[in-house]
Amino acid sequence: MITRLVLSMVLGVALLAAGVLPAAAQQFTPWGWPQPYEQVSRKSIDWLKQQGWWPIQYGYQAPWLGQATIPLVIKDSGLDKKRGLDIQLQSFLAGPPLNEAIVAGKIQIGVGGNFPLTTLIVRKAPVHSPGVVWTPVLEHSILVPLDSQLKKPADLKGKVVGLVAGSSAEFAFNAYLRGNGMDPKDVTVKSLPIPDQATMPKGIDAVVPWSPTPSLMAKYRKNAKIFDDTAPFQLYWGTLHMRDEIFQNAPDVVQAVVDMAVEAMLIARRDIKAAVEVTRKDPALAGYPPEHVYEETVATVSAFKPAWIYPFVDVYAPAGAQVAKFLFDSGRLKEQLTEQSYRSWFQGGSRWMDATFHKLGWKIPKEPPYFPAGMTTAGFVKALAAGQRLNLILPYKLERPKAFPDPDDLERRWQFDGKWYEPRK
Amino acid sequence: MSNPAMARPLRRFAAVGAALLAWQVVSAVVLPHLAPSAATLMPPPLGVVVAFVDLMRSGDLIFHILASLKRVIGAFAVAAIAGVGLGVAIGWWRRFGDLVDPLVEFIRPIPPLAWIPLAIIWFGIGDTQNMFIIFLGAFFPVVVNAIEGVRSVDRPLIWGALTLGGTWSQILREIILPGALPLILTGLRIGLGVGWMALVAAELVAASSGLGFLIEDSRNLLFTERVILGMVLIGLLGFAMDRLMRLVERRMTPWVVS
Repeated sequence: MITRLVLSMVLGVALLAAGVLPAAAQQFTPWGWPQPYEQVSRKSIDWLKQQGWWPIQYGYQAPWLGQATIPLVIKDSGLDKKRGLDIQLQSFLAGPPLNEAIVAGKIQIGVGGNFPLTTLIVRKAPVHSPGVVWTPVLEHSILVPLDSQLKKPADLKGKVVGLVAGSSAEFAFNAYLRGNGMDPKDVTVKSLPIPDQATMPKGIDAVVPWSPTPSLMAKYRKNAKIFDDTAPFQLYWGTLHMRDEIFQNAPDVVQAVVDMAVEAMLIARRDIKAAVEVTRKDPALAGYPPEHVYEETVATVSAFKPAWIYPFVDVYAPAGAQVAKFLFDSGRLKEQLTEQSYRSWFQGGSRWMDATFHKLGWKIPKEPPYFPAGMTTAGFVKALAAGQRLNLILPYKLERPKAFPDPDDLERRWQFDGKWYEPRK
Repeated sequence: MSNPAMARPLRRFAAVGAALLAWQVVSAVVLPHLAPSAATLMPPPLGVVVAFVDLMRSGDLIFHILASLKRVIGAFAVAAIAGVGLGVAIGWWRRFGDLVDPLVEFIRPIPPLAWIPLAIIWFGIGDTQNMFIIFLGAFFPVVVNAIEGVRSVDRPLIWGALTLGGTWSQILREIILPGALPLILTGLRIGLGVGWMALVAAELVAASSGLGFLIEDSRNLLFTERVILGMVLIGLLGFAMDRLMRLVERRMTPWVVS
């Protein structure tokens, strides 16, 4: 340890003498995290212990790949300990039981897609998001049996479709039907959990699962084929959220959690295979083919530039309000949430993630990385209100991950994987 | 209490009333004060009543209750006929029993819920799959009790009938079945209860109607009032069906002293 320190000091002095390093250069880990690590205050730790929230319980959804990779990498790499925190992971199979746990205070950090988080908002749960967004534009596909005669969207008329009632899949499917000139009433919907959809059961003409089930069925189980993609008809997104008490009493813990999420993403980007191996240790993922987990993790973690994790509130709030309207219109919610409800969901807007990006020397992104060239937030909101096909970039359809960083992505020089990147002059 | 006949029901009612009152106070007054979010997880009984009125008004509740009853009655009828028939056959014909009884005893401990994935694959999505799960729940208590009922019939009665020239079919009809009837009816009562429990579990997956679906759907939206309402209705309907079966038992076997 001392030998290594001495060596690095000698090397640093030598490089300075050679003019390679600028004076007082920022130090980074190999995966690009600025050194030294910020430590959580003693006061916050004592407060957490006083609450009985030590270690902090972090609930995640194992089958939601990409999102699950982050906490598993955090724990595996000891990113919590490096900041003086102690996190204990709790694996859940879906959003509703996780919601119950976070409302009851059994976990203090949780995750959820746009539908479960809408439930939390409606029920006025003491939970908000510090602005960590998960896996936007996630795959949602319509699958049919291998011998299905269905060819075009109109063929779905009068057919029986299995999906999770009240989910983003139902929402996107309804939008898909309308977008193709049909009415949701033209189709008989059977509520069917994802594991049952994955069997492509008899008596069902089509199923509408979300990632990673479509590719699991079509590519690995080969028990169904993809009929069409409903993802272009919605903006799917989820968040990391935390108990309000932490925002109020231990804001440095909130910042540490946001920092860890981004740092874990960088670790995964640098060595996606290692991140997949860590992810596959979760028992809930043991049955998935390793190459499948790899493909899904690439699509959800490193296909886009890291800005996918950034809370574009002006984009997500109207998309969220659209979800709330769907739930209200279908009689599943008694009150209709507004855009403002979703703006408020992001406690402090984007300030926590802004701080993280500034720490890294990254520019605050103006538009989400899934907007195609020429699309603006205003244009997106207009298309959303008109119920148009959104034509967002689909991460699972990209041939290769987007390179990062470009000079325009940086405000300061940044080092990743041993290479220095310069901002645009 | 001057009227002892009234004392017991009143005591019971008082206990239930006190429990409901305590629940109301804790959920509506204490919990919101201590931890507002906990009130979501434990709604007061009045909240459950409001949910009941809402769902009755919309017609959803009747729809779900009828869907559940339809499934359970259909599946139970099949389980009753098949279970009593097989039970009597196993109990009556020793060789047949030697062949089939081990198979029944092997399958019996497998919980109905464990069959759900296979049921979906075999029968697809729909009432048949749900009814198969209910059938499994109801079938085994009926079979086991029918076997025991037949085997518990006094042998001297059978020997006497044979001595008097009775045929086997007469003996089965006039001695075995009446003798086994109390246990058969007990099996049917237990089977109906287990089938009802299995129904609710079966409706948690692969159903878009029924009380099990109502519970799961409400859970997804954190509507705990509706979850509790669903549970209460399941309890009440199960209780009502059990009372009905006891009534049938008393009518059909008046010689049995409860």
